[in-house]
Amino acid sequence: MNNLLVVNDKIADYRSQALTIQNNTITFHQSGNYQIEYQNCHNINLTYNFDKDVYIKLFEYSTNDKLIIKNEYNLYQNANILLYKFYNNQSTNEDININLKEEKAHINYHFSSISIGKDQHHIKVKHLHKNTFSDIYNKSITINKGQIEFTVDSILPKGNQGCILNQDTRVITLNDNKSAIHPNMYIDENDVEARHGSIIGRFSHDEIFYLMTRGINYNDTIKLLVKGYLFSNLMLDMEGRAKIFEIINKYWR
Amino acid sequence: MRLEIKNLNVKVENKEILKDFNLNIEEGKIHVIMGPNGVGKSTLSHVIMGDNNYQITSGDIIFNNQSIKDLTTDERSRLGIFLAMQYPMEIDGISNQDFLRTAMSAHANKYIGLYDFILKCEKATEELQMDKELIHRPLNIGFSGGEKKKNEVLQIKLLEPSLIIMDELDSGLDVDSLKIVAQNIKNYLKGKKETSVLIITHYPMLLEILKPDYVHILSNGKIIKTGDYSLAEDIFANGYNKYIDKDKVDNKANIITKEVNYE
Repeated sequence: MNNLLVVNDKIADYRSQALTIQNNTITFHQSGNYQIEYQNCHNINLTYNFDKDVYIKLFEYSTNDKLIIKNEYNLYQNANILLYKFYNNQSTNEDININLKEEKAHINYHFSSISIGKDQHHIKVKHLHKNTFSDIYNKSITINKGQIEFTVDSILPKGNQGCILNQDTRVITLNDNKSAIHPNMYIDENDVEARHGSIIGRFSHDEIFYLMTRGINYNDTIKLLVKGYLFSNLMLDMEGRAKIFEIINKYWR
Repeated sequence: MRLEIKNLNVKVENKEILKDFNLNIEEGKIHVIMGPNGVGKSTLSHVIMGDNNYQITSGDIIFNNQSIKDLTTDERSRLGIFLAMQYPMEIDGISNQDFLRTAMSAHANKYIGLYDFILKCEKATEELQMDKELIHRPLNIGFSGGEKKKNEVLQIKLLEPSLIIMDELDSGLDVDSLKIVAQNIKNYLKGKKETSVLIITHYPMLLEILKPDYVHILSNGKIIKTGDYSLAEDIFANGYNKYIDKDKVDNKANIITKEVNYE
């Protein structure tokens, strides 16, 4: 795992032949596993470029105060990106632009968060070439003053045949605040596979009952379900899991 | 007495499911509840376990001389009641190991370390002829019907309850798996003679191996007949009709009597 830092909205210096950093733009030249942590950030504006044929597993992690993010991800030919993101900010206003620029570019986007304030996420995926693939999975939980709004736009212009577009967004509300999901698919091409799903709800009574019949009290049951819900979306190594465990333990002692 | 259910009345969404229901289960005894679909068998198991989807309107449930009516589901479990479910829940993201260790820790009231867990779990999974990989998989996700039921019995072996309720544990099991499951329960009971069992089933094989002490027929929210194992054999051979029809006639007779009295 290679650890990168973004401190005070700027990418910290990191020397490697596998990537180049310049003016808040990271270009990945070689395949690898990376973790990027946002520390003391308020207004992040980053560009990620993924060169031809790279396979990158990237974990973005943020526990900041009020955070504004405008990030762009550019994927070139046959770039295969497995992007995991976990946020627990006081509030978040995020604009994500994913550009699948060349053939067989594939983004596998897995975002999870524990929302404790007002969070807005706008994810725009543009299929700019034929045979490009997007899988967008969001799984968030709202607690305390948390409320979350997702807008996911999958865009496919005419002529870009053979694309696969998939988006699935779920929000579990553990408070009484309103959350919203706006799933949009702007498709102007017949030769396409597209799927979408959106769910806002609570943990099911049957799941809670099942765990409690094994002697697990209500608080620990919810904690287990939260862990399960978040980790089913984030296939992380021990280091990444430990970071999220720490956050979960903060809210569910 | 291990479990006493006294004049229990239970409603679900304003529909009365159990009506003046009574049942006593002594230590070390195996009871069977049989009956057609929809008569309240699963309701009974959920009510004993404290499922708050079911509303007790009157009556009491006493376990080891203590009323458990107002206890939460987890408290009932920690007192020693276990419900093996007909449809065990699939929960993604929670590893079976994490779930089992959390449950064992809750029962032991202390953190169960990995070494202690593996020691106990390995023996139990071997006896159940379970694939060891299932311990590391998400809870019941991708398990076959038989693997799910074996996982339920694994939990019995790890949590060591003193009252086991089996809600159609034998459904969805092939013959070989059913024999393994039944034999494991039999062996468990041999080692823990004070353990009581309440079985809900439609099939004979589990009963052939476990040899119940009492068989009850549930109809219209109450027990209408109690017998020994021969009653189950008669039901497997001839069905419920002669018992249920009689029950219906009795009810009709009651209604007519009331009407006559009213006039």
